[in-house]
Amino acid sequence: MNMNIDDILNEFENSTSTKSSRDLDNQSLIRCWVNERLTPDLLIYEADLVDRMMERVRAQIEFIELNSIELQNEKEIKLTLVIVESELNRINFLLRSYLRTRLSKIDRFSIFIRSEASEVKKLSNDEYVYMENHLKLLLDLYNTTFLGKLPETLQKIDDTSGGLSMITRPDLKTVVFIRALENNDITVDDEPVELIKGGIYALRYEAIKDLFEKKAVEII
Amino acid sequence: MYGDLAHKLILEAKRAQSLDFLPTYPEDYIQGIVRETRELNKEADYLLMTEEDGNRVTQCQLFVIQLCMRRNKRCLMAHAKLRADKMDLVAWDGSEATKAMLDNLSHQEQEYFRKYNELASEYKGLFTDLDLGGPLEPPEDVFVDVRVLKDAGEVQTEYGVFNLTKGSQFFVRQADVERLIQQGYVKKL
Repeated sequence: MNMNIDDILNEFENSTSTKSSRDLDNQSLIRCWVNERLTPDLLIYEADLVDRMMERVRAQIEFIELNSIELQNEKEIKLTLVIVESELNRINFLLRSYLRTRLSKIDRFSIFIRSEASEVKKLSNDEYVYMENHLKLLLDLYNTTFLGKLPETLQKIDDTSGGLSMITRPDLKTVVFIRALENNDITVDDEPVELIKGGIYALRYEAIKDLFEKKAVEII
Repeated sequence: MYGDLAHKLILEAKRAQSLDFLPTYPEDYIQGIVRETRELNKEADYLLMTEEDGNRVTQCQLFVIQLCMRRNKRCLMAHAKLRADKMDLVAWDGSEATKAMLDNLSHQEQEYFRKYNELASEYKGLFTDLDLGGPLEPPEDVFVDVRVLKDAGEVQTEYGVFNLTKGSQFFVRQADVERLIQQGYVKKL
């Protein structure tokens, strides 16, 4: 008898935990996407999450393909298919937008990213290959059209002399809206600011970057 | 006057920014600016050779020349980058590059565009299930009403075959007609 109840409980726990891990993944994908879109700098690539989501996408595509061939006329499966497909479309969009947002940041800051080992670490391998190749193409373009014909002193593209840096960096002074997840005291421009749990604030990104990485605030 | 051409080039870039196609490559401006910059550089070299210590007039002259050269370079870079960005966009959204657009590119730009297209498709190929070139607007409905603008023959989908004849209307899965919308064969209603 005891065994039975344990079994049932185990089974129940297993089934709920698999279900919730899927929901959790969906939620964290939304979170990552929002974060990536709202922060000025590049965040760390969520390799595991993307891989898991991609696997689910593949499974869902397979499900749709298998079921749509045979059961043309059964109403019930059609409804299921439409629901699965809506979900698939949404997940697809999130992943697509997430990856493209990252690429656009990589394109914008590629010279800066290359110069800092800590930034390079945030890229996936594929992103790194993409960045290097794109930069090479751009350099070829510049060099063949005009840069190669300019005086040698002007041929660099990462020049910082003359009081003007040519390297585009993320603007960490951008203002972001955050929600505090814990109570914290921080200093912004020598002024103390008190963050109260649940409160919403508009602050410069650099002021809350550390807290954001520690998940003490979330960007909204 | 120094910098005039660069100024024109920037105005050109500014104009191109708001257009949804790329204007003709301004070869004349680019060559002109390069020539001007080289002449400035020669002048700077000459001044450096003849410079007497502490001659403030020469120093000032050198300073202005340096600024002009740097400004010219900045303008050239900004213009080239703007055009490259526009080409990148075309490569990503999967719409066919029109002949008119290719004609407006310089030889080197065409080369860049071709290679970047390859690079972008390579990256897209890593996520074939996602269609990375697809719309960056959040999806709404799975099925949409579309009207056919150009004859496109038969299209096979998981929900059956439909025949695209001009003027007809269909209620179809959006994912199936995404490409056709981008290529201008059908229009969402």
